[in-house]
Amino acid sequence: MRKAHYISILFILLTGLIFLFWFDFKHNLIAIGWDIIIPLNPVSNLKYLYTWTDLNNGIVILSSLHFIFLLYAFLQKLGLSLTSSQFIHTYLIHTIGALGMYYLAVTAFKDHPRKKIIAILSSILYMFSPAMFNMYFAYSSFAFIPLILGLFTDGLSKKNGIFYAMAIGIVFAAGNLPDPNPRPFLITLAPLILFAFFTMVISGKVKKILIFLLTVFIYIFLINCWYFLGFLLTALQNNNLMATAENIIYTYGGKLPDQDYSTIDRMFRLFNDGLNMPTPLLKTYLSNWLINLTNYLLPLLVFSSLFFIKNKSKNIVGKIVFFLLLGLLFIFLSKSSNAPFGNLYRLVLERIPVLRAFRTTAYLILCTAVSYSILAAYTIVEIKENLKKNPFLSLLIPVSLVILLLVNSYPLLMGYPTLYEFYSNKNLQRGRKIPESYYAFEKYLKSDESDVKILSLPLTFGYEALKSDPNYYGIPLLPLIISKPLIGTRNFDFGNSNAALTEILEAEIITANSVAKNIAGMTNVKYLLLKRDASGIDPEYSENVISMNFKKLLKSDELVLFQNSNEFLLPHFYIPRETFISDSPPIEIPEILNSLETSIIRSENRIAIYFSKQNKGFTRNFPLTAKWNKKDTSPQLEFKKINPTKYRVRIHNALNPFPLVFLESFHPGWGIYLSDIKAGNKLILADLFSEKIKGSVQNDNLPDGNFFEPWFYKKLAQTDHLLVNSFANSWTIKPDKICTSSSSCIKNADNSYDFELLIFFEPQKLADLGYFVSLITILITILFLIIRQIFTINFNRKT
Amino acid sequence: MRISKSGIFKFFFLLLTIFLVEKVFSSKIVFLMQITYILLLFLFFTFIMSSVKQRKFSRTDLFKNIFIFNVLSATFILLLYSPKFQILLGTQKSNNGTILFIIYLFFIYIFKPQKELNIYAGIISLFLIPVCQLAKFTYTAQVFASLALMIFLLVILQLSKELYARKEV
Repeated sequence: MRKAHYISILFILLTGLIFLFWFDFKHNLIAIGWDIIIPLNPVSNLKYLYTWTDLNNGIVILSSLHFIFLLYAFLQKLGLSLTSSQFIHTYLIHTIGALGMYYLAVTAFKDHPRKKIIAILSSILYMFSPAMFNMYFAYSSFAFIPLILGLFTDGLSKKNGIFYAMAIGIVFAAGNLPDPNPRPFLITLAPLILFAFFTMVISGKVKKILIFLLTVFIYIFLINCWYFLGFLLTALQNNNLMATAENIIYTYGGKLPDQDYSTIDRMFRLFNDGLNMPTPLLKTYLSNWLINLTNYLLPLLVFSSLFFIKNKSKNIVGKIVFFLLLGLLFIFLSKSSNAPFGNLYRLVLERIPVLRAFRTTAYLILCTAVSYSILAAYTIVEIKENLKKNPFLSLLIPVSLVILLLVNSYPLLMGYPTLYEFYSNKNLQRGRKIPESYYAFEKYLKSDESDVKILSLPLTFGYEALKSDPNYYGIPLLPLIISKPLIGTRNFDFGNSNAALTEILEAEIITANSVAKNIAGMTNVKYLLLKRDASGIDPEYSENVISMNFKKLLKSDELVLFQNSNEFLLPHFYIPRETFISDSPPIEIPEILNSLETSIIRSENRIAIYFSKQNKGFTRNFPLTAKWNKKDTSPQLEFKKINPTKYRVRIHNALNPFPLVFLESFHPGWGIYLSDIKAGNKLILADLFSEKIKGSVQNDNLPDGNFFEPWFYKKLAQTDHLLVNSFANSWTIKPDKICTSSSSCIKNADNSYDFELLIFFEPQKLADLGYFVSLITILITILFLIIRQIFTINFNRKT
Repeated sequence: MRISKSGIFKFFFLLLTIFLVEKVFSSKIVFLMQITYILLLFLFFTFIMSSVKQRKFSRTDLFKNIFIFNVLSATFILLLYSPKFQILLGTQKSNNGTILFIIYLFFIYIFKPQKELNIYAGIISLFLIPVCQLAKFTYTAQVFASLALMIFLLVILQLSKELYARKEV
């Protein structure tokens, strides 16, 4: 019995090796484009796992890719190339999916005499399901939906439900389900809920099922606590995170993206026509009449399962009906705004803006793929059983059906998703080469250890189009390669969008206005990267225009690197020597800077501009009450970036209140903590500092401190957390107030203070707490299960 | 003369097949097929009328036959001209699959056929999707897809009810 399972598992694992043919290991090519995100600089990309990422001056966007990013970083540490890592990633997603399907089928049809054949067949059909045509490349949910459903089905019939609930929670986390978009969460959770309610209806065991469902919910929350806690707080602090738009955006010509596209007749075969394949191959696949018929063989087989339910047990019939219901429900959802009831769908989307996350729902067809795979396998096995009397036909017909179904999926077997088309010679290439110059520029930029930002031009809308051959359209590549903070997006879906200044900056650069240097400096931008191969720009013209104000450093076919003068560059943290209060709208920042005397901006003045319109509630607070001009007595500052959510700042010789400016996007989540410096440990202003820009010392020799620092340090009251320079954070530090009630400051002979601050992004604290809760939950549950097992064994021995 | 239920179904499916053939081979013989369809409808109508005159029908049978005639006519008109309706409305938001399903619901309410008929009807609707797509009748394919979806949901509802009644553990 067990041997058969092991052989099946081995068979699935070996079948998965077919994905070896998807990749060109020799030329180190990778599949990337559209919505595919894979870490192109894996170890450096781990910075995206924090609740605050340093892209675009800093944004809140919770990564949904923890485990994938960790996997790639681990494989890089092992010395594997990106191509090999991507193969392993693809292999894992597909084989876990197939193994999950095997488990689900065995569990669902446990009373069926041919359950193992059904299981192995359904796992193969799922591994090469046509639903994958519409997925992101190696879509994580693909791997975990059947596994979670299998665990739930199994858990309902077992005594140790807690173990299954915990396993479901862990699989939820591994499936990258905490995603800013609720689609993966929905397609994984909905089948569980549907199955629970369906079983309640047909079995009447309401109480037992409800208790198990509740246990599962609790475990999903506890084991994904690291995400939910961090996310919830951020969402509460930042209204922009939740969609509040009155009108639906992302409509094209008044139509939602899936309208007239993911129509119901197409979704019955599990995919719409927008497949990620080279045009000639796509055309052949979609226009061939035989393929068109085989497309619908799968649903015909699936619904033909209804002919084989006579004399079957209630369990088997129940499962068939459930899978049919699941399939139909998700066909209905995946067709979104198309008929039938498309109007109703659109109406709901328009009335409830938060539902705009479901503006494209073709991906939801994955749940239908689960039900299709299992039911098609069931029908094929039943056909074979019904033809028992004729051995020849009983072999020929099922085998032919399986072959036809695999013919239907031939683009997956042939690895079309990784094929790219050259427009110059019409040849096809298995994967895409990331230009060498991208990595060469990264190496150059990394050699500059200063904490500065890079502006990549032209700005994108979240996706970029490159004129490379093959053409590239997808997630911007540079943020996945350059380890320094990059600014390159015009606007973003989530997070507090302060992109206005970036857009102004781009406009000033392109018009060769010299104020561009000031604005770039004011955003801590030291380098500019021009993407010469970006669509819609004239590279020569852009290069010349940028050269007028910025020094050209490096050039390749794809990129040109410019440098901003240190004269205009403001450090990430600084204490302004001169502040300006403006009643103008922030969009007029170029005019304001132009109106100031050149000497004021150019000198060591470290100016800061406060816009009264952006700080309406704080007009009575310092420094908005009066212009601050402390050229001689401003304290000295040292800082170190520990990670994107944590900075250490040391202040020397602070006597009077002063504003502290942090050039990262304003967010109420940024908090200031007073470090616990033991008395007697004099803080020495670094004389061997890494970089000194306009009075601020970037001292990378400062300690990183321990993980728990923000938990035990005193948080300073933030009554005057202001918006400065139109986008950044500013606090007023009052040494007297801070130091009189604390022993953490060091008093100097001139009555001034030295002290250390931690600038920390608060939601990260809750995310860290969540990691702890998740870990503890798993440990306690395992401990409980072990103890219970020991007691059960002892009890059995005694009796 | 009394018409048996199976005879009605055969006739119903015959007309559907004619319609299907017409859609698939909708090049030169489309006109011929349309004429045939209309002639068949006309013959059926004449047959009903003559039967009524000769008082061969009971009242119930007459009602059933008139219903079948209306359903067939409506189906014919809807399916044949639905792409034109679509152009007329300028949108694909409306879908006649729902209307067909409602007619189908009336059909099963009146005739109370065996449950298996629902499965057959669903499978046939499903089969008609690729056939209509091959004939470039994409809108009609959507109509059949909607119909199939709703019929299968109906089947699921019936089966769930049965399962609920089964006392087996």
